[in-house]
Amino acid sequence: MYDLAAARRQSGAYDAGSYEVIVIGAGHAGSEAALASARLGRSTLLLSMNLDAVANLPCNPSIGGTAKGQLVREIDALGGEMGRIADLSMIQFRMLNASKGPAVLSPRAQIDRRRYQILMKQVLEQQERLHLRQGEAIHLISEPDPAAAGHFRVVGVQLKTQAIFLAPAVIVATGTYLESKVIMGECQYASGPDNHFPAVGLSDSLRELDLPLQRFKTGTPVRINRRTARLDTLDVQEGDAVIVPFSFEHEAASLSLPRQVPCYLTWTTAETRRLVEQNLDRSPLFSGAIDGVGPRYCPSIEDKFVKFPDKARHQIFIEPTGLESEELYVQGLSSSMPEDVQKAMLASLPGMADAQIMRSAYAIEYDCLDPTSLRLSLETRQVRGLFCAGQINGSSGYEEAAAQGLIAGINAVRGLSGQDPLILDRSQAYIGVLIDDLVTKGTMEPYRLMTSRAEFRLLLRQDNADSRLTPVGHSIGLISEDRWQRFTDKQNRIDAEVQRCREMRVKPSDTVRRWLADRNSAPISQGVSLADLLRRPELSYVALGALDPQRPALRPEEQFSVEVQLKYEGYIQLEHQRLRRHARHEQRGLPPDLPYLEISGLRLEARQKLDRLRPATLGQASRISGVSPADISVLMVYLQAEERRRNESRSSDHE
Amino acid sequence: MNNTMTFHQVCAACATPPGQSGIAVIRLSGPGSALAVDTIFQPSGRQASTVQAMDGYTCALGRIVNPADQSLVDQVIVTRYTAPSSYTGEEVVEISCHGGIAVRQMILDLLFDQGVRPAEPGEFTRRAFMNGKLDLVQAEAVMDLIQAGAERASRVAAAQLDGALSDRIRAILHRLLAVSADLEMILEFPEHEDSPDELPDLFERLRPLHRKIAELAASYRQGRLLREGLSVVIAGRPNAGKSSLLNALTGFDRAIVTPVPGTTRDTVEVLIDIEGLPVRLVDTAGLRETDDVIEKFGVERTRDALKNADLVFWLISPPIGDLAEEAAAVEAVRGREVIVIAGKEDLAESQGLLDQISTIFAGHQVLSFSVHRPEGLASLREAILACYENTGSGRMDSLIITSQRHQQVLLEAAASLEQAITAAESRIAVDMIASLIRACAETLASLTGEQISQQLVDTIFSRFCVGK
Repeated sequence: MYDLAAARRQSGAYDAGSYEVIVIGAGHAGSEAALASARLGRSTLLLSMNLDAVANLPCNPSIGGTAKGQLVREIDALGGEMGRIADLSMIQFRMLNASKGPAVLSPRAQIDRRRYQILMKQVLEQQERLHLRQGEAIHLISEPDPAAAGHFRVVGVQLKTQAIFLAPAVIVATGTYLESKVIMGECQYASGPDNHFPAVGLSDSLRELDLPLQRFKTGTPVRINRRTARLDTLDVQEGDAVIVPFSFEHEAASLSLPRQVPCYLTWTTAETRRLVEQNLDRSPLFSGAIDGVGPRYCPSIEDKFVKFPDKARHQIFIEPTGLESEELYVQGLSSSMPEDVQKAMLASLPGMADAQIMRSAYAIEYDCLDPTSLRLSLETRQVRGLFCAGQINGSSGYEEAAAQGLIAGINAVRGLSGQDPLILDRSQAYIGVLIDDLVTKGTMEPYRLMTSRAEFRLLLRQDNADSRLTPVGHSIGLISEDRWQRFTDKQNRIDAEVQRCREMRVKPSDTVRRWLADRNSAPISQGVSLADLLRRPELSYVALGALDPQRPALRPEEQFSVEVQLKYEGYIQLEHQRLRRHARHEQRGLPPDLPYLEISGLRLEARQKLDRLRPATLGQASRISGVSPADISVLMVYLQAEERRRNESRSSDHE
Repeated sequence: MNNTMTFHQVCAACATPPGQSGIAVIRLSGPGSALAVDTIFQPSGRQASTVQAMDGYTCALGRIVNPADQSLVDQVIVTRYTAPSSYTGEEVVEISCHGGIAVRQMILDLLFDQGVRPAEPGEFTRRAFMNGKLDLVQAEAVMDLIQAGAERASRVAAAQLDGALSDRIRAILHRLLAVSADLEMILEFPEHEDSPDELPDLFERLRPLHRKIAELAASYRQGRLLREGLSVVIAGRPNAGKSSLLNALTGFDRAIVTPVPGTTRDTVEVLIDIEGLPVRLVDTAGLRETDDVIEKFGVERTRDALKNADLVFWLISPPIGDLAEEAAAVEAVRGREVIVIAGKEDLAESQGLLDQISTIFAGHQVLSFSVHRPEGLASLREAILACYENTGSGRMDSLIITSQRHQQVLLEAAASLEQAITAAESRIAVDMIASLIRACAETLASLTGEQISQQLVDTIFSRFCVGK
């Protein structure tokens, strides 16, 4: 254990200051964590190895997409920052899955990555109580936890310069920087993303605190110069005409872009395949030079050809990275091949014969935590006051990182105040699904959120993220009164309109009959409610305006909410029924110190798993592999017996 | 949509030991128990009230009636307990019914149809403990009981789930997951080259899966026959030779249970084994109006027996009475398969009798039987086996489920898939359909212990080349 005395013994060590919360790393997780902490009134230090790398987007230049777009909406609804900055830095917007239903409707924007970084850095700089500082933490400073034998509590961090910063809460958000290694074919060197320095030393510090680490791998494709690509020969993918902002705060502002920058589409060719096959022995993925576990959803181009040999070609999207840059991101060509093979592969794509590589593709290996060593609050079980968020927890993606950062920031503060942590339920938010998946099941590869990971997808929509989470954000203290007022007004308008649509009846006049017939909609023989008509797949709320002259003026997103609530009412109710059945014991809390090993009714495997993972609720316990429904019943009986024993001893004390 | 949610906190099971007994008690526990019973209970008498309106610790006489067709199932006594003054500490209703296995099962089935769920092993005791009804020192015993009960149940289930059933359910589940993965692919990776806007063959892929699940669920009735025996009731006018037929069938096949004692005018039940199929032969009192008290009781029992029969042998022998009247009595046995048997065929009149009967009972299968020519029994035995084969999925070699829980789960899965198919037909948004398919998959997976989310993600990645 590295304690304060040990830290002070280092030559050049000095006390650099005290804070209430220290955040290590100013990527998407760290930025949200530090902002939440400072906004909740705590003096906060945010450390970044390089202030020019704050909120970097070192891989794809986009935010949102399926599940991820919903995440950004949730972050915003709770009072996080990502949605606002994404709105202000987007250069193209698309609403994905427009025709496939409200639950999978997902906003996604191409982002000007420099602008995103600049805006986020400025928000951090302008935030009261927040100190953004360049510096590399190499040691966590801790001491034995007087409250729990064999456990530690964190007291601060020490930088490479030997500066000592003290704080009772530390959030580690190191992304892919821990002992990271970049790999391009035979060429390998210690490096973080974008050739930034790797973080060296902190891994050992985590290991000393008995935190189990694992090694993951991810990768990124080449960037090319727009001037050298024949984009005019490729299919164009334009943005949507209507932009739906990520941030609920921008709803009334009607965001518009002077111009949206398009993406382009090209394909791999027979020559690309030949190059991959011919050079497979030089790919570190297949030669064994990479031990890290890579994600299946983000395979390198060599993976794609090897694992799907029957697929003739793979699609490649060319994406802009900013208004003031000619760099283009070549999505789909992620690779760890040597540079000469990368160059040949790129040239084999239509439109790319003369394309100049500006940055090479690379694979990156890094240390991350086994997330089952965390509580649902994102605090480590082993070290009080030590939280982890973002890719260090085995996740991947900017949005997944930001979501965890926000929760870790909130819970670090709540821990200092002696309040219960904020734990979102799986049926309440994708954030809840993300954290519960990581912490309860662990992950064997970089974890990406998908809508199909949620049991109750119909409830977790991007349109209702505010009604699900803004009350939570408000009670925590991250939602201003002004915003709260606007939120409640909006909900009231939606509720009133839903009610009006149920009551308002449309009569079978000639006009109505003709109108329905024109839309191939079944005729009505008696008066029906607007709500009933809205349930017909072929009719929309907007279209029904023709039969409904008295409707109030609602904003588009309010109209959409009304439509979703009425059109899919039956299906959403079915989902609620499933949820109620599922949630019988979901919320029942489990004390952190249960002597699982001694509970005789539990099977041995269940005892061991429960003892190691220490779930927070019966619901979480039930999702641990190896814990059976009978084990859950036994736990319920045990808890009840304990409670009664306590009550009986308490009443005998009074006698 | 049924009342599943109204009664989801109510569980029910037989509280008396399994097997034939004079009286059996079915216990329901949980908020909503009284309301659940009210859906199938008709109180007798002038001051009749609903179970819901009864006071705690009071009883009521009445009838259990199938709400679907208003048919009488049994005459019962219902006892109401209000929380916390009951065995479990919750609202409890106990139904004391006649002890026949079939009656008991029919009442439970009706309750499950209303959305009540079968009690888990040790559940009444667990609920009693949770509500403070049992002593603290009993806590460990309760925990052991739960685990032991679960292990016993899972051994029983495993014996079945290890074999053909689990293969069948897994096969269905995996085909369902493949459909699901194709749908999810469209939803998760909308810009991917392999993502069409919709699945053109969705119906063609869902319908056969729905049929398979429904068939499997339906085989439960056949499974119950296997476990508890096919009930064959021998009926007819007094002295038609019913006892002789019973004895002949019993003598030919090894009797594995001695006759249930009763008066000669009561019903007599014998369990026999026909090619591995347990058959309960029920000999009844003659069916005719009478003022004799004992015989009247017998007649009532006969009516009950007919109601619970899987197959009725209606015996007609010389001397022939009013055949038209007898035909009317046969028609009164509704909803049960009736085979008319021309008895005592060795009598001189018999040849003409057979022709006469065939004409009058044209809608029924007609067989003949004589104690002196036992080889005629073969056709009767075949008729019994045919009746079994026609029950449930209809094929003797087809897979049969025997656990009530399995049936409940399969019915639920089939219902979700049916909703998915209906939703797809109405061309509703794909995510709604996907959610219903997922509900079906999750329900099936609760039988095989698989985790759907992980499986689904794995299936997507193995079927499609997706990513950045």
